[in-house]
Amino acid sequence: MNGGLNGLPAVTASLRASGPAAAMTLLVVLGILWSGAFQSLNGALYDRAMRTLDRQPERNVVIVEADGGDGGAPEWTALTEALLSSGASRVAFDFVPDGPVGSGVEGSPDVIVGLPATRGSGGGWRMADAPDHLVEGVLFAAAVLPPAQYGVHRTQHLTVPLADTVIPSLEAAAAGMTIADSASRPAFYVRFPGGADGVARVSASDVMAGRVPPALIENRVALVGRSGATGLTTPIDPWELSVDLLEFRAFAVQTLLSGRVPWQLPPALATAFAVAAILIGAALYGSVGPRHSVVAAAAVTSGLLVAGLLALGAGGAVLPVGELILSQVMLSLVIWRRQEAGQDAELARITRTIEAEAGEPEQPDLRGVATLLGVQRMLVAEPGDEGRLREVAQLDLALHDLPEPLRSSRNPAFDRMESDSVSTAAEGEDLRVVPLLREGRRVGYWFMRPAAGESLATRTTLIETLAASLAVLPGGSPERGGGADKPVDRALRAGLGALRLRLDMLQLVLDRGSAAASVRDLFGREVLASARFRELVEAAGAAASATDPVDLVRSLTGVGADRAAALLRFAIVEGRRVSVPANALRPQRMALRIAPLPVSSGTGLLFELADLAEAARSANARRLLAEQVDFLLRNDLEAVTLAASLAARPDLSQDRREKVLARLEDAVARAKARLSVLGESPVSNVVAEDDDIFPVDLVETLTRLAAEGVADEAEDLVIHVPAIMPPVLAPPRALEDLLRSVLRYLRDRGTPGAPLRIGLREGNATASVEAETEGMGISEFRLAAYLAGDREPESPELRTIFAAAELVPAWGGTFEASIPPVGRQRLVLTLKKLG
Amino acid sequence: MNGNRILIVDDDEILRDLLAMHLEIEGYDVLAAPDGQEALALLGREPVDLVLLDLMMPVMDGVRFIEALSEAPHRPAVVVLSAAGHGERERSLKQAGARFVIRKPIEPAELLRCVGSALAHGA
Repeated sequence: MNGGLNGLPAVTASLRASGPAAAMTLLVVLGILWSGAFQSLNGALYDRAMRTLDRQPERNVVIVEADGGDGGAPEWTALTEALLSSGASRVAFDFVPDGPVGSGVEGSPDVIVGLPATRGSGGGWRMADAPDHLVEGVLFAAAVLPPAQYGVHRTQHLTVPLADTVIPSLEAAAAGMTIADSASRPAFYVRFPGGADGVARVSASDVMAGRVPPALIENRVALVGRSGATGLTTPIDPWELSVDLLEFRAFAVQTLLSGRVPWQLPPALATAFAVAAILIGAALYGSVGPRHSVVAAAAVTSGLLVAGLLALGAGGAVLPVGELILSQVMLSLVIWRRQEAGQDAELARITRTIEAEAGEPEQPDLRGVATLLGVQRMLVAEPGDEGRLREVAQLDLALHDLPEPLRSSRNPAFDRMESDSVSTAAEGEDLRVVPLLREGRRVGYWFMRPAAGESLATRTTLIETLAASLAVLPGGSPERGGGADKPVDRALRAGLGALRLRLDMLQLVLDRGSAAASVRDLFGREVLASARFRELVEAAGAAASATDPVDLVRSLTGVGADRAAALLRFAIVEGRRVSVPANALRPQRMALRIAPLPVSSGTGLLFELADLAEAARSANARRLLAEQVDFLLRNDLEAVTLAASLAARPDLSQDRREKVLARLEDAVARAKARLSVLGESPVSNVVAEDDDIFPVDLVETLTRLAAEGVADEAEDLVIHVPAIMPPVLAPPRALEDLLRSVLRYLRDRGTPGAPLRIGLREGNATASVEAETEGMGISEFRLAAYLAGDREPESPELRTIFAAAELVPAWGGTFEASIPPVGRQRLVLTLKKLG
Repeated sequence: MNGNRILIVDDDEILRDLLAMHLEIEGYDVLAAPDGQEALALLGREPVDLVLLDLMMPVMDGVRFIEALSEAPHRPAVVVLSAAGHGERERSLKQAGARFVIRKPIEPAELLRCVGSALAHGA
C-alpha cells in the first residue's frame, strides 16, 4: 500500500515530463482513429486473429443450392415444406423466387425472402418491391452486399435504413433478430470458423428428393440461394481465395446465431482506450529512461496484441489495435528522443561545468610541477599540423627555444626513445625530453631545461610520475594517432581524471575516517577539499584553493620552500605518507599528512590535517589497556609464584599440595583466558572508529567533566568516586557525550538548591555511574511519545540520552533512567570493566 | 603457631587461598575478606594484628579501607599488596598508615619478611 502511494509522485512526475509528447501522440492517433486510415491494418490484424481463433466450424446454417429454380412456383413451396418438415429452424431465400414459397405454411415467420437493396447515389438505401405472389406469409428482409474495407469483406449490415423505416438485413432476419435487437448496432464483423469449408452445402433437388439426411437440416437455418453469383474477398484468405456471396451470408448468419458477434468498438470507447494507452505509455517510457524504452515499447505492443486477441475471443470487441500500437511506437520514439536530447543537454552542461572547474586545460600552470622537480624551464608539446610540434603549455621555455630538429614530430630521434624512460635529447646537453604516454600511446613530449650544473639523474621516479600527470594535457587522441581533438573533449577528459581523483579521495577519507582532507593534482589544482580542511587552512592564513602544494605545505607547517618541495618529492617518489607538525595551527595540536593517491596514474596528492588530540586519545586508550594487562598479569603471576613456592615445600601435607596444584591450574587457566580476551581488543588497530570500544578511565572522565563546568551551575555538586578503579569498556567519545548530557540534563532539571549527586560504584565485572537530583522530569505522555518515536525530545541532552540508551547494550552495558514528572531524577549507566 | 592473626583482604579468591596457606604454614592465624567493607565488619568482631590488603577491589577499595581504618580505635598494621605502580600512590598510602607497599608479584620470602617486620613494629 505504501509502496503504491510512494510510487504515485514518480508516476505523476513522469507524466508531467512526458506531457507534450503524449499530447502530440494523442492528436495524431485520434486523427487516424476518426479518419479510419488504419482500417486496412486493423482488418488485416482481425483476419489474422480470426484465422487463429476460429478453427472449428459451427453447425447452425445449411446452404441450399437452388438448382432448378426456374421450375415454377410449386417447387419453392415444396422446397420450403421439405426444409421445414426436416426441422429447419428458418428458411431464407437469398433471391426473389418467381413463385410462392410458403404453400401450406402461409404466414409463417420462418420463411424469409431477401429483397435486393442498394445504396443510391445520394447515399440513401432503396429496396426492390416485393412481387405480389410473395406478399402473403413471408417476412421480407434487405439483401445487401456486404461493405468492403479496401476490397476485403469482413462486416455486414444488421439493418438497412429506408426512407420511412428500418428493415433488417437478410442475415439478421435469418438469424431471428428483430429490429429492436439490431437497432443499437448497424453492422457487425463476420467470423469464418472452419474457413472455406465451414458451412454445409446441399442442393434443393436432393432436399426435395429426400436424399439429404434430416440431421443436416434439423435446427439449422436453411439459406437458399444460387452460388457463384458474386465472388468476395474475405478474411479466409484475402490474397487468393474468394467466396461467393451466398457463402458469405451463411457465415454472417452463423456468426449472429453463435452469440459470439465481433462488434466494432464505438468511437467514444475507442477514443477512451487510446487516451488510456497513451497515458500509461507516457508514464512508463518517461520513467524507464531511453535505454529501456524500446524494450518497454515492445512489451507494451505485445501486450496490446494479446489484449486485442483476448477482447475478440472473450468479449467480441474489435479494438483499434493498429492505432494503439502506433500510439506506443510513436510515444516511445518521441520520449526517447526527448530524453536523449535532455541527456545531451545535461552532458553539455556537465562539460561546461568541468571546463569551468578544470580551468583552461589548454593553458595549465606548470609552476607546481616545476617547483616539485626543481626545474624552472619546461614545455609540453603535442604533434600538430604538417609534422610540426605544437605548444600545449610552457614555463619559461618556448618551442622556438628548442633546436630546429626537435620541433618536428617526425624527428627519428623521438622514435628511438624508450617509451617509459627519460632520454637525453640528441642536441643540447642540458635539454631533456620525456615522451608523454596515454593509454600506451605517445601523445606528446615534455621538454625540460635544468639549471646549469643541476642533475635530474636521481629524480627518475618523480619524473615518470609527473609525466603521467602531464600526459593528460596534449589533446592528441591515441586512437587517432595523435590528431588534435576538440577542447571540449580535452576538458571532459581532464574532468574525468578529476572525478576519478575525487572518488579515490573520498574512498581514502572514508577509509581513514578523516574529516579534514584535500586532494590536489600535481599541477597544484585543488580537486576536492572538505569544509574542515578549508577552514583550517584559512585559519593558518592561507587561501585553501589558491596555493600550490609547496605553498600549502609551507603555510601550514612553517617549513621553507625547499623543505616543502622535498617532503612532497618524498611522498611521490617513495609512495609513502609523510607527517609534519602543522605549526601554523597552534595552539591546536595538528599534523599535516601528505600521501600520494594510490591510483594507477599517480596523479594526485592527499593532504590531511590530523587532530593529534585524537591520536592522543587513542594512545591513552592503549596506555590504559597496557596498564590493565600489566595489573591483571601481575595478579596471575603472583598466584603462580605463590603456588610454585608452596608446592616446593617438603613439609606441605598431601591434601594441601593437591589444593595448591588445583589453584595453580586455576591461575594459569585464568591468565590464558584473559590474554585471549584482551587480544581481541580494537586498541591494537591503528585506525579507531567512533564506535570502537576502548578502555576508558571513568574516574578521570567524570572528574574532568565536572571540572569542565558541565555541572558547576548546580547548587551543590557531590561527587563520590573511588580513588582507583579499572577502566571500563566503551567508545570514548560517545561515553563522554553521554555523561556530559546526563550531567547537563540533571543540572537543567534540578530544583534550585537540590544537590546533584554523582557516584561511581564498582561491581565484580562492572562499574556504574549513578547520577541523581531532585527536580522536574518528563510527563508520562511525552515520555511515551519519545519512546515510541512519535516525537523527538527538544533538548539536545535528552536526545543524546535517548540515543545512548539504544547504543549502550552494544557496549555490553545497561542504561537506566528514572525521570518522573516530579521527584528524584536518577540515571544509572553500568559498563563492563576491562579484564 | 606464633599467635598473630592476619586478615587477608583481596577480591581474588585464588590469591586469597594461596596467601592464606603460606601464612598458615608459618603459624599465623588467618582470616579473609573479599573487599574493604566486609573486612571492616570482620575487624569489628575479631581482633586482628595485621591486614594484608589488596588495593583494587569492588564495593570498597583498599584506599578507602585504609581511610576508614584510620578512624578505628584499634588499628592493625597494614601491608599493601599492589599490582599498580609505585610512586605518588605509594607515598600517599604510607602517609595514610600502610607499613609496607609491596608490588606484585612478590617472592613469598619477601612477603613473610615484610609481615614479620610489620608485626614487630605494630600499627
